[in-house]
Amino acid sequence: MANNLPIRALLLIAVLITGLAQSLVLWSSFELHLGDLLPLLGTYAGDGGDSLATQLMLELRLPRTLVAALIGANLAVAGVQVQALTRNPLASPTLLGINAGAACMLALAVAGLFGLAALPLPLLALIGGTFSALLVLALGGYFRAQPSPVRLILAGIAITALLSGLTRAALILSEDMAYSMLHWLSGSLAQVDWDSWHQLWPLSVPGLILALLLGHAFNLLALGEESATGLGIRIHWVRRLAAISVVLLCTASVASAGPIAFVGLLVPPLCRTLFGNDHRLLLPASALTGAAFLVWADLLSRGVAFPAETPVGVITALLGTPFFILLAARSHR
Amino acid sequence: MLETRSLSAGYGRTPVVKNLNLQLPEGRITALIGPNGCGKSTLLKTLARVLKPLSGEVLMRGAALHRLDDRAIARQLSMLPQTPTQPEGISVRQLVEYGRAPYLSHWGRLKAEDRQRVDLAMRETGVHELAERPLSDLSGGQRQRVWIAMILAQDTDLVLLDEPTTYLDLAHQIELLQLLQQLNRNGKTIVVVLHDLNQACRYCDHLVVLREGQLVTQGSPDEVFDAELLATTFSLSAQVIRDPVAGTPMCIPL
Amino acid sequence: MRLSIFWLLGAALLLSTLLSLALGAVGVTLPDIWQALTEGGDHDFIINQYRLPRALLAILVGAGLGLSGTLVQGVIRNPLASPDLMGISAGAGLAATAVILFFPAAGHWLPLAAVAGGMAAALLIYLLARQYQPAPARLALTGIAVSAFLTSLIDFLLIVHPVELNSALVWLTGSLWGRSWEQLPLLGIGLALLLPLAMRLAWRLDICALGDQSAVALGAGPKSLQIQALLLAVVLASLSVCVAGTIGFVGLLAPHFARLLCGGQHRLLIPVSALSGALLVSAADLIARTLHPPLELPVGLVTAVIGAPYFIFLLLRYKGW
Repeated sequence: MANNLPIRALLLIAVLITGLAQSLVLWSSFELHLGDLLPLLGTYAGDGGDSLATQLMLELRLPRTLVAALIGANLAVAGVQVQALTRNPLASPTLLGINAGAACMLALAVAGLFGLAALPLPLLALIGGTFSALLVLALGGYFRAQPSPVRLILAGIAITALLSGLTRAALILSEDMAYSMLHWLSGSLAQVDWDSWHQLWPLSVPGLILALLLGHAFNLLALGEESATGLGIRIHWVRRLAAISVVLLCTASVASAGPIAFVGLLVPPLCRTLFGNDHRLLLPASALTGAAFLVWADLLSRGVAFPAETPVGVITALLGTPFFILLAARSHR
Repeated sequence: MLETRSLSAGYGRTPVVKNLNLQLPEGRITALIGPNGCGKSTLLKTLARVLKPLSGEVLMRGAALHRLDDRAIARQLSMLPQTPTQPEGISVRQLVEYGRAPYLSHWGRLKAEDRQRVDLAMRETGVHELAERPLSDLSGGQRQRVWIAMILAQDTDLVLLDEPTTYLDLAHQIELLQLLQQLNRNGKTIVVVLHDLNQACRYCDHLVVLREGQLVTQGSPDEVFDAELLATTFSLSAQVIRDPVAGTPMCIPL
Repeated sequence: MRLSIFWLLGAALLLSTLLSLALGAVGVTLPDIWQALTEGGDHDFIINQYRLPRALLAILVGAGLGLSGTLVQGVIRNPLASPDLMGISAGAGLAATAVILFFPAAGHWLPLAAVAGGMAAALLIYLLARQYQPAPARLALTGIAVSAFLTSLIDFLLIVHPVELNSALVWLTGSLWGRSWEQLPLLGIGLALLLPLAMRLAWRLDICALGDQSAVALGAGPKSLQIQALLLAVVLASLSVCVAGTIGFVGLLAPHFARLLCGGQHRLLIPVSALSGALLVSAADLIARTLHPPLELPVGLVTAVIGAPYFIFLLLRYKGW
């Protein structure tokens, strides 16, 4: 396995780069070609190139592609961390209710409840996501001596059902805002622009760096908490830092593109089989794989019903749920 | 009354019980004993047709068991699993009434005769005073008596029990074994899987000793239970003496 | 004691129905309701054409879902099971959506398609369960996952075929909005036929609760019973979905409520859970309509907001991990 690791890494990077390039040109109502990418590079080099194609790519396609890649990386890295923390292959940020909590808070703000609208969006998402994750962890018995993986997930599903019920009720009762919010709720990259990018990266980058720094600690955590403590890891600090990282990554993503499900569930196991269980390698590899996955999923979401846009969250759910069904049905008794 | 002909049985495709020929004597208490994993529970489940034989057959009064009608068998043969599922929210009487299932019509109405049988079964096992209590309120010993009452209400000549003493303390174990003896005196043939060898010798008439899915020996405790059997079958060096109270064989590990 | 349960539930149901007739964007007084019911008059349309069929539908849909939930829980012996959590409702919804989108003219085949979809989902779960033999909690999780998959397929279909979006959306969210007398006979006849069949299975479901070994020993072979009961449950749930879309958590909630009221014997449990389901949907629809008139919420949202906390309560109490 170790011998062809570089090959796998190179392949992955190739997939990512092709995805990024295709994402800039494919499925446009205005015809674009890969060749149009060259003048785009030229723009950055400083010489002219303000054709319509270049403008289109610069203003619409580029931010969308960048946001998709970063969100994919965010969710995958968050997924690896959640699975390492709970030692539960079924866990992912979505199933812990983080996305639903963030979305619910945003919807309540849109509905004008409790004067929430005065707060900035990312902060609202942060509060909602943190709150619901804590609730799920508590109800799912995570803080008990022997947490059951299935119980945690079922608690997450119940909380998610509750929160999304509240979300939709808030939207319907607030009438006029409802339609645009409904589109956003299924996780869509259609309305992404440079503003979203500027909102996304300041939260994501610290979250990603924090996660990468914790890689070694996650390796030891896999030995069980007692052994990890014996090896001099401060469990509580690892948990707190990882939780901060997960919440940063998820809420930043939800605030810019709505809840996109199953990336955090699908990518980590794939990376485990490809790159092994060493978290120092697994975390960056998942980031790249997650980015590639979401960029391609976004491409698919634009192409599948072209010229109509399918929310990318629907595509990831279609790809992710069969996988989840297998994970859920297979018992590890 | 119950016999097996070159019977092989087990879970999936691997037989746990292999090519077993056995005749269980009528009107006696037969104990199936043997070390862990010897196939005694598997054999019992196959006799009760919870498991299908992989090959060979089980005969009841000379007729092949799997050819008979389910309800017809259930009127002649009852079985208490090792850990029966306890349904929620029902009373003792309701559970005992379930024993009448093989006699009921399509709509499941109890007739007067069914009610009499249920009362009788509860009195025989001494649970009639608990009749209206919820099952979940009872202690382990009481609950085991209620399950036995359900099987009695089924009114069968043959009763199979899978390790009925497992979750009971010693006093309740003895109480239960005495209850089995009493049922036997009233005419029932009893087959029981037991772990405790000394209890098997004291309370049963006939021992069937299994090892690795095959019959080692069978016969009355006096005939078959000796130090050599313990050494070969259970890999246990022990001395066999007479029980000072009942006079039956009894093993003292060395 | 047993009779009083029926009186109590019946009275609550009557009250909820009367309130449904009286409350809404326009309030109608009791004498006016009586007048409208008997001889028409000013409120003829609002009572007879709008609120009454809807109130009756709420009762029938709820009864169907409650009954279906009891049958599923009885067979699977799993307190966390219910038709919507096992993917049956989503399967029925998917099939019905497909019919609405691709064969808009074949509306009368809708019930059949829904039942077929529910069956297919149930079969999928059954095959998965047979392949992997999961523990009860894991089985519930598998059902939820299948449900999620089918729901995302529905979303996908709706987005790819936006033309028909509105009619399908209204119907899918689990809502009784805009239903009229047309849908009543289907569900009414379905229930009238299936309830006696379910009652006939009652005592064998009791035996089934003793575990497979005891059920075999008592001569009530669980296989055929399981198939019959599941078929009934699928048909009942699919018919409800076909009329009102997926109304979540009723099939989970109603049987538990009934068990609290009347214990674990199916002879009582079956009718009482049908009544409880009816009461639940009727009350939830009342809330959904009157919370913020004239706007109304889909009734499925109200049941989810009530049902999800209860599901969590069940999780906290559940011991079989």
